[in-house]
Amino acid sequence: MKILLIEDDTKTADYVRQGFAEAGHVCDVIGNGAEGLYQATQSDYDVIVADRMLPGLDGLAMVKAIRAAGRNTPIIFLTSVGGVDDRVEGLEAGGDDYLVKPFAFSELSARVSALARRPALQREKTLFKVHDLEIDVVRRRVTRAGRDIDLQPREFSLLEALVRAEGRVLTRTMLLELVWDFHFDPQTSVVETHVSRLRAKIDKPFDVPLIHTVRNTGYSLHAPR
Amino acid sequence: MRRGDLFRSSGFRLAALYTALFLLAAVMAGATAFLVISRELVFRHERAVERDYRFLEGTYEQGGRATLIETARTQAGAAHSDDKVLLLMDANGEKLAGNIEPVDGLPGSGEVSAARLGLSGDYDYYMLDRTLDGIKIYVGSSGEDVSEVEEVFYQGAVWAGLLLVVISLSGGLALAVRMNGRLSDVKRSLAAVAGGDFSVRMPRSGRGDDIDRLMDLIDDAVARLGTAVETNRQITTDIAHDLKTPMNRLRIEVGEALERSDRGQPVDQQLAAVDRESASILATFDALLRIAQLETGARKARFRSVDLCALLRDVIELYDASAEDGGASLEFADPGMAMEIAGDRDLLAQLFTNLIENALKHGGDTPAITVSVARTGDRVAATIRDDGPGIPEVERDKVFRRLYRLEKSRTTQGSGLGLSLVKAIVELHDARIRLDDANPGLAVTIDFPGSRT
Repeated sequence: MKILLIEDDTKTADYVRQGFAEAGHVCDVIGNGAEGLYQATQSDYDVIVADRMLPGLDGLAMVKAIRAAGRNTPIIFLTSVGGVDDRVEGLEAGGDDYLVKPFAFSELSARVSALARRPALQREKTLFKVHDLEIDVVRRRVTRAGRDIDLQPREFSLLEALVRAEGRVLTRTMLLELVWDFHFDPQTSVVETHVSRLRAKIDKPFDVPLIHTVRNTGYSLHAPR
Repeated sequence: MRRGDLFRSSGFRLAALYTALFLLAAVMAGATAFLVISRELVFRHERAVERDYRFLEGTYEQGGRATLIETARTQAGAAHSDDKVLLLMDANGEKLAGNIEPVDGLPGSGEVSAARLGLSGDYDYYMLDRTLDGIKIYVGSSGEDVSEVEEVFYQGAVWAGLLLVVISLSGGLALAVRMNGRLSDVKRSLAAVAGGDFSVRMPRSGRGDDIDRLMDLIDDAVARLGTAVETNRQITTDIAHDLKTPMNRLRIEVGEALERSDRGQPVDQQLAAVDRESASILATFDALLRIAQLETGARKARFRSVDLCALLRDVIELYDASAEDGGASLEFADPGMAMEIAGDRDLLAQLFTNLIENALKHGGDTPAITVSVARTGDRVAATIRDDGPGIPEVERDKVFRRLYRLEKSRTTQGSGLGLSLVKAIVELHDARIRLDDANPGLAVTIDFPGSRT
């Protein structure tokens, strides 16, 4: 994957670049908004990670300009809590996701992957099959190894989110956003509880686990590798 | 106080200004009175000489030239030249009768000084000159009384003016001294405030005048400033104190990790602990920044209509499973209808999440939590009730303070910022929060103004 990081804080930039490099991605780093805009419109990137506050050209203005130039590259904003309104402003300017600093690299990585592999067609897909698990989103039916599995509505939404991201990691906060549309960090392990309930129905009665815990990050649903 | 300060004081300046104005008014009034009186006196003299002349004219008409001269001689003999003058001359300028001698270039009618008439005295005569059958007749009346009145007037005016100046200036000075006394008390008090003593109160005259009312306002402002400064100091101390503990733990873990790595032992456990501790420190800062951000009110611009009932349903559904796993029960008395308020869904979710997490954490071993929502009039109130130990009445105001934690919950995990954040969100929504005794347990009620849409 080719990623453009526009971030003026060299410490954060090094941390992120190294993380992506270890994951096997190419990550270009630009330190200010004006050059960021130039780079974003001149080269093709899979995802752009942009700091909200940049020297030269403010992050919001830069993203607006990238969009105005006709580039649809997914953009994820990095914001700090102290700023005024973060998320909505970022999304209105043309950002696709946002992440509050300080963040764990695993969280950024998961979000970048989610953005990069979000082909339009995937959203229309209604039938999924992972190993012996089959999900019909329209009829809201789940079967595994031919056996019907009865899920609560929210458990179904959770499974749908995981299966749509098949093979990728979804963090707890991403799940909270996707399934509950809540944009904050709860202190207690609410998401974990819901995942473990879902697991009890999807994985427990069967030999092969499909929902995998990624340590310190989140969950991933995939066939045994 | 230096003398210069006194003369520059507003009290003295006002007094000086008023003295000047007063003096001007007095001079103008005196001058007018003087003019009126002296004109009346002059008019009387003019009438007197006119009458004297008419008398002489009468005698001429009755008895002819000889009688006129005879009468004039009698009159001139009887009249004192200090009082009235009379002179009759023939065409050659020879004196025919009179009590003064002819003088060269004797002016005609009008005011003529005594000296010009060859008389002593420092006053004017009011003269009338006519010619009757070749005889030049001069009649004059002494204006001594006019001069005397003028003199009396001048003297009176000067003395009165002096008295006026002395009285008003000393009055002004006294006023200035008194005002300066009051002001320097205020200055002293304000200097104490500037020095950091917010318990100082401004001096009062006790008469409830405008300055006393101003002092009330200053006292109010100082008291509020004092509270703000105290809150700030408290928060700073609390932050320092509350972050010292995790920082210390962090240091211990790092030290231990260093020792272990020296010995070639794995340090995974220590690093995991460092990760946990630093995450909790960051969370504390996050919460502090969030509260500060909320208090600016900037997010109000993004308020939308939010169905409180649907939101609570979602939040409770999110927490239900983990509450159950922890041995707690979480019930929602769902009224099954939309209750709209104007707000920020994320912040409201955070608000109820914090309250539910609090109830789960502090509501006893197996808390039973019930959440209800009700509409009264155009207000919507949500209540979160638990059956735990509750919060003692005396502590209820303090729990909203930043980093405040009840003594017994000091040992449990948490930043002590949950309720401060709740309060900040409540205030952003123009709502009210109330803590009540649920007998047993705590009931937290948040009363929102309903949405008009």
